[in-house]
Amino acid sequence: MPRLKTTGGRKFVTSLEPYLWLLPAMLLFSIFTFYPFAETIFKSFFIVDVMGELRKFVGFENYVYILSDPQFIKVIWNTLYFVILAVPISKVLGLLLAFLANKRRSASPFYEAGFALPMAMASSVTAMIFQLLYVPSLGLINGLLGVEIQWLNDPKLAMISIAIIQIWLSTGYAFIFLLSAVRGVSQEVIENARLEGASPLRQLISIYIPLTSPIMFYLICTDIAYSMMMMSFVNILTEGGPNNATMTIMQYVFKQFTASGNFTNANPAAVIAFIMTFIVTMLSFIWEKKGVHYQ
Amino acid sequence: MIAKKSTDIFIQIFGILLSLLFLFPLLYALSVSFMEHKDVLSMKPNLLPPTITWDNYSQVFTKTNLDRYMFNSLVMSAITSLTRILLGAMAAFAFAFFEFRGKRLLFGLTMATLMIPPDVLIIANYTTVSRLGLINTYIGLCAIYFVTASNIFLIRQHFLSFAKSLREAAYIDGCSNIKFFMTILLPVSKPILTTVLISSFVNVWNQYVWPMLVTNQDEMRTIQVGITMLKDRESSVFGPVMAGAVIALVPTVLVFIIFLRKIVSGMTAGAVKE
Repeated sequence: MPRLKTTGGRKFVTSLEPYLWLLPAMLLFSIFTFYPFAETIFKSFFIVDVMGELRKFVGFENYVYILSDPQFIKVIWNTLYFVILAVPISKVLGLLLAFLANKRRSASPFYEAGFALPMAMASSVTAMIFQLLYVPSLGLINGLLGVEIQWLNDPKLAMISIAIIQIWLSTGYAFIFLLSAVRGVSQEVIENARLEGASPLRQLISIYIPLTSPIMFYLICTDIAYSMMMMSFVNILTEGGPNNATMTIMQYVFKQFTASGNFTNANPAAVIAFIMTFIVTMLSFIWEKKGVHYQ
Repeated sequence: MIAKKSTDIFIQIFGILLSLLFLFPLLYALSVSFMEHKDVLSMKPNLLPPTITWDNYSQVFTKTNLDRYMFNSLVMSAITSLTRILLGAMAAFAFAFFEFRGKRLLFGLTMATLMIPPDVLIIANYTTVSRLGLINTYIGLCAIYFVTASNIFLIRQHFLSFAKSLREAAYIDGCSNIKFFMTILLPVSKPILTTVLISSFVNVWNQYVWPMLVTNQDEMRTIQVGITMLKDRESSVFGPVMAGAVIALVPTVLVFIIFLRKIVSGMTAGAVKE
């Protein structure tokens, strides 16, 4: 190693060098991830004025306050309801599409791209398109079905309508991952099953589902964490209404601090949102150890 | 044999029809963008425009700032994707090729950022950006997207696959680290860097919440924010909005179709555990 046998100054440069390569990334992480994370937690224990300045230390009182507010509890349920509606269905649809597209055929690039395409679409553009489809009086969905459903204005339906958009948008993503997983299943296993007379349904249940479960697990975990943060659709389409039926936790945070400058409620709500995703991630790690089949 | 072939053809036709059905919202938006206002929400629903008009497109360009929105999105996506490559590759270089004190800690901290959803940080980040006077600026728009742990991880994985001998050989030839990084490592890593570039571009182009938060002047809106403000929620003038939606989709959809394989390999590689 001739390089190390240099002067003291050279050695110093060598030992400092990796930190210099890391400096920009670490600086940006510090400013825009670690600092705001610490600040949000720290400030959640204070009464904060509209300018974001600390007023008074109150310990856990802010948490007690919002968690005893029925509106906030409803917001948490709404968020979980959205997750339960949106996450599993898009995964099942993605798996079925992947199973259908499994075998490479001459037309498969076309329908593979077709199924995957919504991945490239932004939530705001998609929201605008569904706003058009959902128009109650003369919108296309109601028009074709000959019904008069208040998709976004009926408190009972609004969250389901929002979840449908998310399902449509995220199925393509699940499809792409599951397609590569399904194609990764060894042909030998499938051939054996076929020789033993296993039907396609049987193959799906006892071979494809268990063997693709690690990817499925990854998709479910990341999508739960992602969906818990959803606010774009409701901010564009309902602003949390009607009657707070679609108010998700991030929409609540956003409204608290933009509409009324209420940082005192917004900070602890954001911390609770973080804890919720963190718990889900941890739970899924535990569940992973127990149930998921790795090859 | 013939029976097998006909099921094959049947499945292909079925697949294509199903994908068209699946893409129905997108195709309908395309169709509405060419419809006259009276045909959009008519008593008898129209799937295809009875008469084709370009009015919606000319309206959305002449009466709104759509071109400016597109330009802003382009600037934001281009700047952030390029920085993500550069800073990501630099960090990955340190993690892959150097041994130093605190390496495990710093790498652990980098990966830990993945556990924190960016959305829970928007209050504090908004406060920071507005204190720095960066509201309605490109730097403010880009601020939180300059670097991501998943990119660092992906590039690092790729660098690790290089034989250490490549670096040793370069050193024996008297190549400095910077020279090695710029003239050898980056050029041979072009495929993975392209993947990062493309997926970053699509990802940042599609962002909505943060750009909405840090801009309040119409000229600084990105396309994703601007598109939602082309009409009031109760208004039924959908034609120009759908024309805007189609325009907003063109860059990402094109990039996506052209680079589908690359994007997919980049994503799925990121998902695989060590």
